[in-house]
Amino acid sequence: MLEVKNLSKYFGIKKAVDDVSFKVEDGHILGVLGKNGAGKSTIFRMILNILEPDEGEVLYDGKKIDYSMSDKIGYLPEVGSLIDSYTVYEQCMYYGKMKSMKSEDIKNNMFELLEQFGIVEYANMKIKELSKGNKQKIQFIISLLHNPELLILDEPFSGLDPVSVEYFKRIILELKNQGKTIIFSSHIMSQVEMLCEEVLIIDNGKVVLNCNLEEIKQEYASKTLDITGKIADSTLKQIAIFGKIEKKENNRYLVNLANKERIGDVFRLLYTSDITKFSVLNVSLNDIFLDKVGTAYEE
Amino acid sequence: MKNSKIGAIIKNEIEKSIKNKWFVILNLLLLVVTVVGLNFNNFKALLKQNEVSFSNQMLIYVEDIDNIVYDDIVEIFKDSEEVTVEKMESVDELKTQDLNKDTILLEVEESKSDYIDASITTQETISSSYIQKIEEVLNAKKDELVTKDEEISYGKLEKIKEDVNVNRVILSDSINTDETISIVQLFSNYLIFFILLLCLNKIANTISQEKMSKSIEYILTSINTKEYIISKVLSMCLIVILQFVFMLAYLLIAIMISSLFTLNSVNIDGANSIDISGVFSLKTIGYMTITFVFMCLTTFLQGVIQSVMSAKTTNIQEAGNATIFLVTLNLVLYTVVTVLVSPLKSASVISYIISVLPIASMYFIPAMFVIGQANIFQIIISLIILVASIPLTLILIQKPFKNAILDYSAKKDKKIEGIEKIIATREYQERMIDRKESSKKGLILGFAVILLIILQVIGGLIVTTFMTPISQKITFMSQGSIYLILMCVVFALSIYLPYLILRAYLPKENKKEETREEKKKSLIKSIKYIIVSIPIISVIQMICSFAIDKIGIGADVTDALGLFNYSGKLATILLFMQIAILPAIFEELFIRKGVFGILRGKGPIFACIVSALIFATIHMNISQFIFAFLVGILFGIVREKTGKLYPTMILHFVNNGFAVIQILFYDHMTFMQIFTYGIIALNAIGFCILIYMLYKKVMELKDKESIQKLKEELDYRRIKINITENLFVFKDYTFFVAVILSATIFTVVEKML
Repeated sequence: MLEVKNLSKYFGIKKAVDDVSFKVEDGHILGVLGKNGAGKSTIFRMILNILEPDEGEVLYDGKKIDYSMSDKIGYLPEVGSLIDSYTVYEQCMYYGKMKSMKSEDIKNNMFELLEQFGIVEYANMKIKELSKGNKQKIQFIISLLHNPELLILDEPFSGLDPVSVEYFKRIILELKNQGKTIIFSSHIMSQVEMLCEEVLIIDNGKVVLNCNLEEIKQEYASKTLDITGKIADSTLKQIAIFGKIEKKENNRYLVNLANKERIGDVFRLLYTSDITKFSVLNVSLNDIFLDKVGTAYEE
Repeated sequence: MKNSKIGAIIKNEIEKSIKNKWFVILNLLLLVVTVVGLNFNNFKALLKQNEVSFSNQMLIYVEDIDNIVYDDIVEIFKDSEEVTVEKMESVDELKTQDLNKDTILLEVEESKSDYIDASITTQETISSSYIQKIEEVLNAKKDELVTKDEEISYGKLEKIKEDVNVNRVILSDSINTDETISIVQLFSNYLIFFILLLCLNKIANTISQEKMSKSIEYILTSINTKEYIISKVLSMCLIVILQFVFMLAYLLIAIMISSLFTLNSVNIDGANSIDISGVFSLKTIGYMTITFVFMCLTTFLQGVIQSVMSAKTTNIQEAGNATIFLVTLNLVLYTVVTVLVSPLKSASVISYIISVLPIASMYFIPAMFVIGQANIFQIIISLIILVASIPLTLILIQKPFKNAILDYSAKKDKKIEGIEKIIATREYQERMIDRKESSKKGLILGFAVILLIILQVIGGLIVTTFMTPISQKITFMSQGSIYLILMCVVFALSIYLPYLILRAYLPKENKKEETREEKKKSLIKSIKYIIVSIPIISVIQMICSFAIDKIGIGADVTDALGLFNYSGKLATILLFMQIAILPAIFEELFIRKGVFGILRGKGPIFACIVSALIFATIHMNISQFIFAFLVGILFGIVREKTGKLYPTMILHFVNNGFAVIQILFYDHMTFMQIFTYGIIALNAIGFCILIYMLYKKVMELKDKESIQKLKEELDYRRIKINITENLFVFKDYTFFVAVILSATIFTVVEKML
């Protein structure tokens, strides 16, 4: 279990990370969502012990993270971390050795993973000959090379085509089922939404939202009604007692209820009206973000 | 576990660099260069020999008083038209380096034991066929002598069969065993420099490569900074040592080839090979050991420092430039060591102090060891300091290294990203502009001073070089006068040209017409300050001469200038001009107008101090430095108070002129007496006025208003002398280069004298 407690980091006078705390259980995926420069990479670097936090600490299995644990951690950096003049094999060798692996194991694991991705032919190609997407795949392979317990993926999907994204997703879910702890970051909301159970939204170095995705969706979803139809003003006034009404075009109304037990009451009030649609809205993460932060999430 | 990671990095680096094609090419080149370089003379001789055998005329001078072989030699060369044989009384005077290359000197003497003593002297490149012929004649003659003079017995027959012992003298720069150590020293100095350059360059390259490819991000998650730096530097050092071993191998190959030539030296006369027997003397081995130990440790230390510098780079260009600092440092140290350490002079305290400092010790200790000035104690201390400095540096640099290497953004971006709020204010922006302007000013000042020093040195060199041809053309003037005139011109130009640069950057003054009243007022003020300054200068001079005597760094200026060597009216006037008038005009123009004017905007106190510092620097003389600095501050104050240039010019003139007059008229007793009384009187008057001024100031301070005023003024100055902001003048390192340059040149000049 990874535990981050009150983490803060200053760059000069700017507080890049401001009192961030969260937990990730074994076998869970945490998606970290935030704009560019929100502080995601800085948090990851502190977890990885590259940067020292100014305040707070990072615990893994109850112990403070240091270099003795680095062999258990897999890392996919946001910026390409491959050396152009190396071949894929040399690169794997170099980084594998950095994780105290034996040459034989590195070779075996590398080929296994290359086969999984279907890019065995790249083993002896130089990094500079690879496309951006393929480089990303190699980086991903390197982060998995030593079979880590904790996997930290910084923007794993950047530069990938949709097919590869699906592929990555499948592998990440597989790893999750193997009981690995996975943290990954993205600035694209849909990617986080489709992959993880828990989500951490960061803005300006601060945690805006930290929750279980399903739970919060349940919570939000059950509170918003989407109604289309001709509703008399008097009825609207009555509904307004239960929640805020937002009028949209074409006789469409969004009703944000204060309490989800009022759905039935609203339904009963509408029986005289000419309703074409009545549904409980399935809220997207964006709506939640909007509600929590006040402004819409922009990529 | 960690050590295995360090090992992995080292292994990886070494494999990578050896597999590199450039490594192979470089080594092939090195092999060729070493072999050709060491056998250059052999090859040259080979070529020359063929040339000679077809050559035009050959002269054989024979010194043969007893007329033993002369006739035979004439006989044997009778058929060959190109050879002329001449008899001479003595060939000794021809035995010089300038001996004609087509000439053979043969000395033959009777000898009791060997019948004939012969000596052949030639230049290095001569065909062996002639020598062989001469030797044939000698042998035949000996046979003849033996058979004629002695009864032929078995023993005598043996003697007949023996060749004549020919003493072969070759006039060329052959290598003496005594010189071996200096050759080893020279060679090892070049080697050290080469290795260091290679090492630093490699470290800079590998670290900036890992930073630019961002692989550092991944590696630092697995290994901590200290271990990373150690493994990188170590691997680079190992690569260089490997290269070193390769080079040794090439050297051995070259020596073997050279010895092959020597074995066949019957055919190739005059080809000299390296004598390596001297290499294995105790002293040489000691020297090599010490050099090797210091080189290894220092290279490691410098590698560590280099790694931090390289960590800051963000692109290839910067990576290349990052080594400049250390390379320059090494060059400076190398220059300093060649100047300071010499067998002719006993080592000064300064060289002992510098020699124990890390990095410098690599140059000083071996150099001092060679000339026997280093003692065991000193070597051990410097070694301890060097060894201790390595972990210390490693600890110190960890944090900056980490901060720098994880920061991929160029500097400008960081500022904009990081401190948005401060940046938005106009004050902040103005301060940034101010800083840039300050550092630009520093750059210009430093450049001007460097130019000044270089012009003076080069000008002096040119004058000395062309002195003889010029003085041959101009006959109506004495050589000393011409020299003085030229030196005056050099002096004036060397200051005026840099001043022109400074003038371009002087802030424009608002010129306003002064009324008569104002002119009068300022004139009185100027005179007052001039008179008041005179006793202060006297006091400074007394203190300085006392201090210099105590410290013992005094160099006699009069000796250096050779003041007593000039005679005649013209020379006196010229000397007066060179020492008193020209400095007063040009130095004041440069310092008090140029430098002071440029720095005036940074506050008067700052301008005073820095201009005094530059004033002291351009004197290029340690004993004058302190005096010039103090007087420079005084002149700065006078300049600030009066706002005019001429008062300091006059003061400068008086100060310098005083010294010149003392020297020139030291034998005119009455004149000197009057002069001295005049000076004393002037001092007394100045002193009185000074006391009066101070008294007035103190009296003024009694009422509260003026105290308040003074406080305000001081506060204003304190604001103006905003040290952190003003120090940006020194941000660009040219100023320091100027100071180092002047110091180095001074030491060189001192050594030459």
